[in-house]
Amino acid sequence: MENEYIYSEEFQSYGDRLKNSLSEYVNLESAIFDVNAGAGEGESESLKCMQEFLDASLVGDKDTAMKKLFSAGLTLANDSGTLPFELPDSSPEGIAFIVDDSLTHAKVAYKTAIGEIPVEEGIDTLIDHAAARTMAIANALVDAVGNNIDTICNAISVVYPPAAWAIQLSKPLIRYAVTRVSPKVKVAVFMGIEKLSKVSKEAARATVAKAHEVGVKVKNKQLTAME
Amino acid sequence: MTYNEIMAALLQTYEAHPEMEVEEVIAQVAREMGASEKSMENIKSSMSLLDKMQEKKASLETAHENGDSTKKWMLAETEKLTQGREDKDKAAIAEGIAKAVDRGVQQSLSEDVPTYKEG
Repeated sequence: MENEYIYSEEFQSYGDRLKNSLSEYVNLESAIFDVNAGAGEGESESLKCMQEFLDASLVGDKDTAMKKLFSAGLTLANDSGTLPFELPDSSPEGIAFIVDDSLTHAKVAYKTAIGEIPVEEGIDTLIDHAAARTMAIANALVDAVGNNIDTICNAISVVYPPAAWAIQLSKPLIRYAVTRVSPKVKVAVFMGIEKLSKVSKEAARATVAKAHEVGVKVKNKQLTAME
Repeated sequence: MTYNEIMAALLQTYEAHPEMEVEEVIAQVAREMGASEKSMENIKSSMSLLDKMQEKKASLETAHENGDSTKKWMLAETEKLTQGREDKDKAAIAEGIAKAVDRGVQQSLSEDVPTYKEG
């Protein structure tokens, strides 16, 4: 229990932060309206590959291929100054993070809406993917910065962009993705997101507790080894 | 080219050429729009990271199939990552990862979610 103090402050403010995030949600009507506005500009041609991405398994080459296309699109548009939204951190890590997170969310939402996976499993999937994403980024950073422990820790701790950035970015990415599928599928994605959001608050609480448990356990183990 | 035009070029080329690897599609579109070397390097780094994410997700799936929990998998991964380091460094890295997972989970579950309204 001695090491619980490390996380106590985060625990206390967690509920408040989540509440603030929830208050920033937009409604589905305006989200669909924005998508339909794009349709008028001839930008909503349905693409088989986008539907295949949504239908494909959550881990595999088809999933990664689509994410690579989106990360390339973000990088190219950002570097040529034509990105219609701000990228406070345009590092390869930041772009890979937001693309993986956003498209995974859209796919899980779709699979939840069509009944392919139960909502609870969808939430678990989002959590598992967040854990796997973290380990991948941590590995890459450790490989890149070598033995400078401060640099490693700083890099890991800043790899997740501020919540405001995620909120700002995930919307246009998900929105763009659903301009390339049929209107029915588009609605399914947003309905799935709504389903997930209804249970995510409680699930997040339980899971953050779990993540803390892992951290405390690892920390205790390392401290014991040091004694 | 606008963001939408770039994305359309990438997705349409990918769909029209199933024989091409996604990396070839991206290189072709980037070449056509005169992307810089720096942009290409950044794209390669992002793609490499996405491959690593897929590897980790597959590894986690395998762990689940073998009856292991996400928590157990993370402990094993952290052990591997910190192997050969001093104990104080291991503790610092483990703490950094725990905080990053916490923040990542919160963000994954609390991002911009539209609320559906009937009618």
